[in-house]
Amino acid sequence: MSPATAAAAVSAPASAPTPAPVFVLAAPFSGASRLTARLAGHPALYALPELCLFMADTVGELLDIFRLSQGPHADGLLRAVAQLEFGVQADPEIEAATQWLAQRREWTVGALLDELARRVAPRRLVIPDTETPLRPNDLRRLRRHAPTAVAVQVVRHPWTQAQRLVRWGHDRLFIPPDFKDHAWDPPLIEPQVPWLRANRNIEQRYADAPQRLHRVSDESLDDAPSATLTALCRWLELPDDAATLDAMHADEAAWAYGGHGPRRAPYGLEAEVLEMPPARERGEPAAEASLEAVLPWRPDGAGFDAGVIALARRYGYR
Amino acid sequence: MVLDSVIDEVAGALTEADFRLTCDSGFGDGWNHYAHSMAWFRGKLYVGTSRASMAALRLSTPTPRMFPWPILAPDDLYDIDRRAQIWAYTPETDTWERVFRAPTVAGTNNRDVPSYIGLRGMAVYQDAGDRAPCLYVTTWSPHTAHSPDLLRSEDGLHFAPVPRPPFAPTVRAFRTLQPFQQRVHISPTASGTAQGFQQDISSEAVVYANADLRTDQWVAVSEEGFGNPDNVTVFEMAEYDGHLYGGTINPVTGGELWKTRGGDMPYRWEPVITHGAGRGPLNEAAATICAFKGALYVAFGIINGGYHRGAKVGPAAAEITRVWPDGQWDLLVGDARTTDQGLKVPLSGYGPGFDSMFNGYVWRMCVHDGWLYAGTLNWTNTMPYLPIGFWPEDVLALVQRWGSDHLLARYGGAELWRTHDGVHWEPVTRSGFGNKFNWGFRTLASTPHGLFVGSANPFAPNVAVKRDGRWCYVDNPRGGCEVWLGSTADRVDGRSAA
Repeated sequence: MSPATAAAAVSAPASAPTPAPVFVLAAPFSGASRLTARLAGHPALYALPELCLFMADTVGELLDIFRLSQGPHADGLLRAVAQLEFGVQADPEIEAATQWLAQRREWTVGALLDELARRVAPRRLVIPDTETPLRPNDLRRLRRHAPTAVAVQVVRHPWTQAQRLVRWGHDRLFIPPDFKDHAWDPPLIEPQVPWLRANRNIEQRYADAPQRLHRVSDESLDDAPSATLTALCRWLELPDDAATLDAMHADEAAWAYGGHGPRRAPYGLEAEVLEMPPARERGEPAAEASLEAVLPWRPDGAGFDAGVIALARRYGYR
Repeated sequence: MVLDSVIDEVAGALTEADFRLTCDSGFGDGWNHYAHSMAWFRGKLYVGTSRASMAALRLSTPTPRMFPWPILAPDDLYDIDRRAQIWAYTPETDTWERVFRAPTVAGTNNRDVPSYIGLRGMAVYQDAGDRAPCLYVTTWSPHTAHSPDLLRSEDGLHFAPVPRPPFAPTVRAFRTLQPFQQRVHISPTASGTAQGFQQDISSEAVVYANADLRTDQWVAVSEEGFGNPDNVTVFEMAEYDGHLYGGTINPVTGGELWKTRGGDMPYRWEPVITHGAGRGPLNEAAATICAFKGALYVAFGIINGGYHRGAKVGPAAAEITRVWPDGQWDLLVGDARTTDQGLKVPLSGYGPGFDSMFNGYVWRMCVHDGWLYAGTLNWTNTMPYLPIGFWPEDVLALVQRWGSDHLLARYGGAELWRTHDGVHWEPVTRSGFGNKFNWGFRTLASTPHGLFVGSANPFAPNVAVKRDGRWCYVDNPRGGCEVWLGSTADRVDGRSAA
């Protein structure tokens, strides 16, 4: 038994009503972290980094997955617990958060979510998530463990999303197999794969509860930021006065999780927020985005897949 | 990545706790390695065994690289009693009875040899000459004996061969037996000579049909390999949407799926899936096929446990697809890829082998009480005997990160998964029902008493273990095939029966 698991177990508290959390669901590199940073400025909300909660049913299983994972999946949850339970995100508090979670191995991830929600109440939790949408079972866990939650689906033009993912993957040693086209040897990084998987899964999971899902295009945050955030606030039944909107447009650095975390848990947001400059600063005008484009990352000169085109057109992209 | 189950207590859905062991240790004889065939017939469950499979595997070509060999067996395979057996289970009395043991014949090696060393398929079918449905059993014969037979039994006690198909002498087994349009269809599977044998690849890739099993009027109803010489075996068949489907082993371009409307013989066949559904030889074989809720589920894998070393295919884990009547297909479990039908992404979210590289194939699928169950072959527990130093670095890194002891303890053993829609898959067990020596779930049968699951467990009657740094062989009480029964009828603690 490791020292962490040897720590005294803590029972889950009795369930008590907490404000319904808001999950910001999206395909990777589609703007989930970016929108969450905007929502972090709303005084009625408390935005966390990505928690990756729904890979498992219990905290113990989740910690096992984090331990075996090749990615920094644990960082967001560790940062959140460090901040909410111990007051600051620093390496000693990250270690304390690790112990805190180990003492709650028997908790369900739903109980953990409730505990985090209690810590920030009466504000509502906002949690970006680009892992859960990749897997139908994980989305089902979300619905089961967070039955009152609502979801915001963020979509981005597949061209823009692809440009960002390919650029990020260019110098990576490890790219998740979920991001690849395995018809090639070696498998080819193909952003359409996670784009199609995630968006299709989100739609199917919420087909029986469309009132719990609100779709936002990432581009609308640039083209009509106030209107977009106003509409979102109204859907969430939150104040949308001018002062609130100003707060939502404030510097992302004001968000406790807006940058890198400490050395022991540096990540927790998408790489495009932490490591890549905004698209507009790199000269990636949205006008270049086209569903008719030849895809430069593909050696075969192919364009977008017909399924991707059909879904993207339904989202209003051309 | 998935570690453990997403178990919803859904009516009719079986969980690991719903299963109980009805027989262990190969019916008391560890040489019964595989519960290789299974059928519900006249109120009893029938299980046909294959004997000493791990001992024979050492003589297959090429010989698998394992050291030490996982079991200690005589140098001469014929020193082992390999007469295949059929056992019958009576649920009301919870008892097993051996109802058949293969006879011996004078072998070409001047010894008495078993007629059948394995019984790889069963079906209940009423043929033209049958007064009632009969139990038919496909067999596996050693190369020193006669060609394999199709056995018939009216009562579940007496078994006798019907006239054989015109197999070439090198054909040593057949497994799939598919009734369709009042004809029985079979296809050869294994081949063998004195130079060695292959347990899955046949010397013929032909579908034979017979409308009256009292006669030897077997007719080849397909071209060799459906016209593709790279299709070396028609490995599995199923009826779906008014068609007969046949899935192949193809180590060159990947497994294929063909279908026919039947009618006049020989049949006209058309391809449904080629090139391993766009995965090439990594989907070498259509290993199991099953109709479920309007679609045909086809699981692909690589023979010999996920690594066909003789053909340099693999290692790789299994995929599951489903085919619709119009030929469109979905990728359910597997690797995303562009195909001639466009981009396919795994609808379940799981990669090959349900995200486990050790699930070399899905061996059997079965519908029970509105759910589709899929049993895998999982080779985790052969790791101690494998030269893992030759493995790719990324695989080694994965094993080291998990820890081989942890892997064996928690995930050594076959997996059984279930789904109600083809998209949401949940594990029933990922550890061979707690027995790591159950390396495969080879047989599944839906019955009024529940779902029976038969294992392949060739780590008997002894197994190699390392003690004090040295290998030795010890008796293995958990070796030999097992048969489990899953039912919701006995649920307790407020869990409602369905």
